[in-house]
Amino acid sequence: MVENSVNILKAQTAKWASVLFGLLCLLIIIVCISAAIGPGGVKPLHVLKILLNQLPFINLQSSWAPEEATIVLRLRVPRIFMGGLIGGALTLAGIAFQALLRNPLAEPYILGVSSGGSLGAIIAMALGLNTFIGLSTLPLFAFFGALLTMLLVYNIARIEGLVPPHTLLLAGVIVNFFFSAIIMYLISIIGAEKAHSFQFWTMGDLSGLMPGGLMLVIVILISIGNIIIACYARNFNLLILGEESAAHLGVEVERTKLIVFILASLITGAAVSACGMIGFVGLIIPHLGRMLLGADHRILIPASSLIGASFLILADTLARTLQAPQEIPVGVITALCGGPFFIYLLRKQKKSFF
Amino acid sequence: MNAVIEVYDLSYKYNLDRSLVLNRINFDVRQGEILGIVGPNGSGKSTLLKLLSGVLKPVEGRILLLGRPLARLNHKSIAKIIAVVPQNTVISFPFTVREIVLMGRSPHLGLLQIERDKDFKISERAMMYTNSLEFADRKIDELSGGERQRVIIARALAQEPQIILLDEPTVHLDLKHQIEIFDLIKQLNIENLMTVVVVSHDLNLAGEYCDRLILLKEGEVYKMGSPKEVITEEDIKAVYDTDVLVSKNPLSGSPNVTLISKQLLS
Repeated sequence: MVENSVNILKAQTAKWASVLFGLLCLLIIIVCISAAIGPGGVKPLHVLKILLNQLPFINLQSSWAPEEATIVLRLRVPRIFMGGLIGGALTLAGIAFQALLRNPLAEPYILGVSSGGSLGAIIAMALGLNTFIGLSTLPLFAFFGALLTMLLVYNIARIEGLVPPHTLLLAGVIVNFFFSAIIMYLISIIGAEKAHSFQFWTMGDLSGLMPGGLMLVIVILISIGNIIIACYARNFNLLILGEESAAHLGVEVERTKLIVFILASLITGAAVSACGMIGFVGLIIPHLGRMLLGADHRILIPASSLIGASFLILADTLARTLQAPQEIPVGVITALCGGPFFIYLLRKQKKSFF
Repeated sequence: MNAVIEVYDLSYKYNLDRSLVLNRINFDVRQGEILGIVGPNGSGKSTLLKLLSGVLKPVEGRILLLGRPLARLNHKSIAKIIAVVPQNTVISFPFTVREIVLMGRSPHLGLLQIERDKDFKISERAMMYTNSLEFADRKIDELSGGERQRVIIARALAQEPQIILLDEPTVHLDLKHQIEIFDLIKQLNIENLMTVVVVSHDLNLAGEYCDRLILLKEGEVYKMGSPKEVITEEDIKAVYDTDVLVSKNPLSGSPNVTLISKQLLS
């Protein structure tokens, strides 16, 4: 019997490793296809070779045209990289919020982070502070708007040093409504042209290029946040069974909640300031992951992040090619694909985990 | 006998403006005993248990766990000494029984550490002990109430604690499962020298299985002692405001409470 359980451990580890390997391959294939699609077509195989050639110690025979390499490396890859990073980050933030709030409808924007970010951006626009020494300051305003909102919501929800999940949820929803009203008002007074460019923040867009330095900060922030949250995977397993029972099993519940809320909000705020509000990814990908892989966060977090990255890269590829040369906001694509797909999964499964 | 938990002048209230739920409670839990906490609804039984497990922090007074102040220990070090079986565990996530029991090992694991062979073996033994090994690979949300309670006790055992706290472990269970759970508690106590603190609504079960009882009334200790000393007609009347008959269980000699309907009294 005991032998049996050790075998189960080995089988599980092997299964997890193969799932992650499979998803990683899927991601690489999607990256190659996405980088190949678009004006000045490049062969997917060439993309793979160009990318491999960038790695140290790999020097492939150049079978591609130099223009191809320029298109792939300069134009496509940065955008694909951002898409993958943000897709994975939104998924992770969604999983974190769903686990900590123990609510299946929780998503990265649930605690008002998105409306706070949008509010920051639109205030900057309304005040004419769009640029500072030629650089766009909007992402900066959006980021601090998101952060301040998160702190506000957290403090509203705190009762005698504890933060009950349902209070936090309510505080987030209410702040969202309140800020949305202010945003609507500001849109109505800033004029049609500005209002149009503001759409960026409400529907999500990966086409905007940010100043390199800011981009780097956002990439680092999201990466570190992701890694730290992923470390809490086993604690999430305990927390979804209830805060009290998690405490009985040794989890420092309030501290874990604080750290993960701050990091998940930071990630979301960074994502919002980089590409606006891309809906649906953070809500549906965690559910998709759970349906495919079960409730264990130790596999759910890395696997879903990979799925989320693949999904957003794919959606963004559609966004820039379906109506080329015009772009469709990527948030429209994620919602259009995500909604029906999620309903299909829900009907097929006929069983909820919450 | 050594005291494993000492409680001094313990008071608690839920909100700063409300009245005390527990008022200056003093007692100790002795090594290797089964201590029952009984009392009517709202007398503070569950609150007391939450204070003992460190989930709630006392407003006043202090608790010593193995001689050390409980307030200074983090959840993880407490979880290595005390395991808690909550009142009614509903788990709607599709974890298998084995996964749930393995969670009992988490106080012994680092943040990123994956369960070792040793943890699997300890969980396996815990399931064997509680007769839950047969459904080890079933999903926890498919089990009956009695089966689920055994799994939760197995998880508590996987923590390898010295003390187990149980909050009304047999509520919502039928007769067979009530006896099964209490027999299991007794077996743990005798074979593994486990110290047990159990909150119970059922005076007969508590009187039958516990070495000592604490009778709570409105947040204060009304009486403390052996079941025979605590479960008397006068004390039950005083605490529960209910007339009962207390006789002797003909087999074990422990006190047996018989309820009396109003019609019979008049």
